[in-house]
Amino acid sequence: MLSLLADVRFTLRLFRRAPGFYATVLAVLVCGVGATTAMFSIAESLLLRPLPFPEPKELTVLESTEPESPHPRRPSVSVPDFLDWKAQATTFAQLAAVDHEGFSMASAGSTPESLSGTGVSGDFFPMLGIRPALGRLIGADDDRVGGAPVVVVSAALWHRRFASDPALVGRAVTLNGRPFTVIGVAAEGFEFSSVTSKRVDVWTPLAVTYAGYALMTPDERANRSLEVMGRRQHGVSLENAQKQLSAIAQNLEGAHPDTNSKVGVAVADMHASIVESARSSVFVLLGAVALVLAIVCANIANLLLARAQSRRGEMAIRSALGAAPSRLALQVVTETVVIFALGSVGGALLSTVLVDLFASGIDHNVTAAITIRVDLTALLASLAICLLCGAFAGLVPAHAVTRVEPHEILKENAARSGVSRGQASMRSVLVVAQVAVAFALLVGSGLALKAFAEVAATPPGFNPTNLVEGFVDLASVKYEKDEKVVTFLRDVLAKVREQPGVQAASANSTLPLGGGEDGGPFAIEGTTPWRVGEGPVLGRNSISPDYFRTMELPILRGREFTESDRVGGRLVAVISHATAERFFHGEDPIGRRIDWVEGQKARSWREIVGVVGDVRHGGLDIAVTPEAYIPVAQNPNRSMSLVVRTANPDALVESLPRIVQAVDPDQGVWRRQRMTDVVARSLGAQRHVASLLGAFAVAALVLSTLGVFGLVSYATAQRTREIGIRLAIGAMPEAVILLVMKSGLRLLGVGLLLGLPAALIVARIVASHVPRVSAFDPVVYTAITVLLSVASVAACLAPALRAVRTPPASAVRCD
Amino acid sequence: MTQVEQTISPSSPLIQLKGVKKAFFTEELETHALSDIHLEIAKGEYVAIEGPSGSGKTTLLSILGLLDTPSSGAYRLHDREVGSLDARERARIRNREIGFIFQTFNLIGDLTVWENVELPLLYRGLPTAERKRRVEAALDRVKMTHRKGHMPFQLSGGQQQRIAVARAVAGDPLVLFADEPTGSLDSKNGDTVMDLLGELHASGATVCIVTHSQEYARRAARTIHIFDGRVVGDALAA
Repeated sequence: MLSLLADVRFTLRLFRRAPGFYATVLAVLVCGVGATTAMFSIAESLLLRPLPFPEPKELTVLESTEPESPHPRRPSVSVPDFLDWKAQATTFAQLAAVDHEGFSMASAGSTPESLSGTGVSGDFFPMLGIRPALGRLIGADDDRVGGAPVVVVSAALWHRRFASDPALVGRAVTLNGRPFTVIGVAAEGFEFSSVTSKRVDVWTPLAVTYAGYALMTPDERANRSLEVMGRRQHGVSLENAQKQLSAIAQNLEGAHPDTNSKVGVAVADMHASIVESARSSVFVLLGAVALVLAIVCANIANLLLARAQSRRGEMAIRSALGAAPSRLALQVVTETVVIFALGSVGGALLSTVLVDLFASGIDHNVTAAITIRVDLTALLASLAICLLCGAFAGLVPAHAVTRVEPHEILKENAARSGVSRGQASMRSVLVVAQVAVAFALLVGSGLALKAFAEVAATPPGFNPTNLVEGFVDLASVKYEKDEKVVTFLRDVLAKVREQPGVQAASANSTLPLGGGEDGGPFAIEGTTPWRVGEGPVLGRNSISPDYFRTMELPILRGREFTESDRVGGRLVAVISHATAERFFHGEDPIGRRIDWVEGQKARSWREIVGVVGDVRHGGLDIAVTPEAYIPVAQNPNRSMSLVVRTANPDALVESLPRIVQAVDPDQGVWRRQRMTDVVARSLGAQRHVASLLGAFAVAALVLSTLGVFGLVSYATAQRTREIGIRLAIGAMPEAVILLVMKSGLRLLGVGLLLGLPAALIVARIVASHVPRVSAFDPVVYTAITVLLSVASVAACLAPALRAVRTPPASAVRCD
Repeated sequence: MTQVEQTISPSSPLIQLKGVKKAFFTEELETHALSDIHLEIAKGEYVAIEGPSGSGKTTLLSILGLLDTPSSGAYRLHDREVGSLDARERARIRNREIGFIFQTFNLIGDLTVWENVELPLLYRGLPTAERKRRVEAALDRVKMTHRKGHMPFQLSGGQQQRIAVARAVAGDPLVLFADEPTGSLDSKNGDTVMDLLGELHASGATVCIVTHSQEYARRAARTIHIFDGRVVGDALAA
């Protein structure tokens, strides 16, 4: 123990003697361990840690399935279907439905605040086992048609908006123009509503806020907009629950063929459903960070080995004084453990910063349910990682010092004695390993970046530059009448157009790349209608006049809408180019008529008056889908995006709420953003994976280049005398440069050769987890080979040039 | 000196080499550094090993001090065959039974004077109080107690060598080996160190030094001449 303390004390003294060396080692280590701990924390938070609810394995998500539709599986269920499932599914202890809704909360004397809200059925809170922080939560008694308008607020909103006022319960707040009574505050940190939803601020009873609740009509059964989840009875497996729900769906199909033909149900574990979107990227990034850590370990092992080499004299003295080889090894291991202990502390601290950075690209619906943080498990894992790395990085130099022969002490200067062949080989092996792993990681990252660049270069169909969106949800009772909605939009857009710099303004119900969708099966007049459940889906977008000019969407044929396309007038539509191509097969669609099939409703044929360019909705990487536009005046929608083309987008983003409130003082703007941000965000997870992979690859490139540089520099320093002699006897500088570089380039060649199969494996893994990545892209392989070669040549060049600048006389004297 | 030493029979030599050879192998060449060395050193002797550069003196000393192993032949130290011991056991003997003094002092630059002297005792696993007693005694013996907190680079060459002597004797070894102990010192400091070795011998220590200096060699009771890897002379002082 005394010896151990002496070794620790000695190590700390070494840090003071060679601060540059140890600072470099620690910096490399802290970055490697920090990144690994952060990535492991994310993986642990998402994949290993159970959901923060009681008996989380019983929680289940129920989704509709329509095998022949463009969306074969989606979390959208109609109210009648939900009520039928709830009445018949005995395998579930509780079934809850939710419907997302934006709320504008008005308060006297302050700006209306847009809130994210969810209507929840009575089983929602009991199913999740959530307790109130204050008051009570929504229960079965609240969730009934005609029930009192009550609201539960999140603890975050309670703190932020109500200053944690304990007397909030019982007070009335105005949501969308209606008074709601606050009945409680949800538990601290609880902001969940469904697997697809971001964090929410308020929860209301579904039956009170959902207009069509309990209407068991065919129209309502076809209107699938609820998300359903449930808690299985204790001991009931997913398979048994699936069997029962499938049987129920089959019965509903028989009873309601018009709306439920080929509509099934799929059950899935809630945890798996929440993390599904993030799982692939987490695995890829975890693998990438592990490769970086491997390079870090090899790099540190090499640095420590070089250090051990320079301390051969000291080790020979210790050996001569009676230190056994194992004792010398223990000293080196102690030094390494001290370094790694410090690295572990630094890495843990760094990981708390990196974890937020790394997790920033993860879908908000995932982070609404799961808090991603560095916890005790992650810290213990970090310690284990450090110990493993320490064992690897420390054993290499520890093994080297056991080979120190005590008689080296009798040499003139043991510290300068040549490197043993074994140690030289070990250092070369470590550098080759670094080059090989870096090559593999660079190829994997290069493939992901190339795929991402291709997607990012895909035009969205409109011009997002200098385009601003503001989302308004006209859910207030004052907008129950359609004409009020139309008037509001007309007045707001008129005011927007008066703003300086505004070139055009309009509104739409489905923002491109915004994540929303509308539409359904449709019919073309004069053609045989598709059978129920088998027809294609046509997207529907209600828009205001001047929309195509605002979005800079090309009008290919016909015209766009004007103020004259109003309710009561001729019903009109503009279709997209893809719609014209797919359904009219080269014929002129202008003048033809279409209509969406909605339950038993009588046909309201709309005349096609124009054809416009295609717009991508699901994402830049998702194929264009058929779409049609209709005038908002003929199909008023209460959830609208105001779109404005302006020379001053930032100013408009800032002023939009004031413009809206000049028309309606109680109306908030739920969301304001530049469309360039919307386009960027639509790349979501892929951008996140590509940028992090790129960062890890840069780290790998830098570390492996440093490895080559360090080794070649060291080997060159060892050969100073030889180089001096060569120069003294007339060697040309270029011959010496070639001599020095040859050793480094040999390592590069071997590293690349060994890295190729590793790169192929990494590429296949990346291709299986990242969309549109081709594992065998020769351009990427060639580019990475060139990149790594240039970096390595540069790394070799510096010591080579230094060597030829050494005066031959001083080089010879150095021995 | 030690308890073990006191049990040695007068007829049994402390060091006994029989037919010791040492060959070094390079890629294409086998070099014989020592050939057929027969040598005995008794307890309490003061022996000087002399010879020109490259004659094999240092190689002989490194084998005697268990810093290196003979290629063939037998080496008995203190009535025990030590020529073929493993590295761990050789280290144990070096630590407990042998003291070294080197030409270039070989103090560890990152340790203080005290810590340098304490180091072999630390490896031996002696308790703190015992280490303290021995280090103080050793530093007192070389008159360097007042420098115990200094770092080696703060000392002169002569002072560093006195610390090296203190380190060599702190563990009460059976035998002291000194490799050119005055080679890096001026004549005044060289004399001081040689006086110190003389005092140690006078107090009963077995001392074996390698030296170029005939003057210093004459201070030993016995001089062994090495030439071309062989013992070519072995004479007692007149």
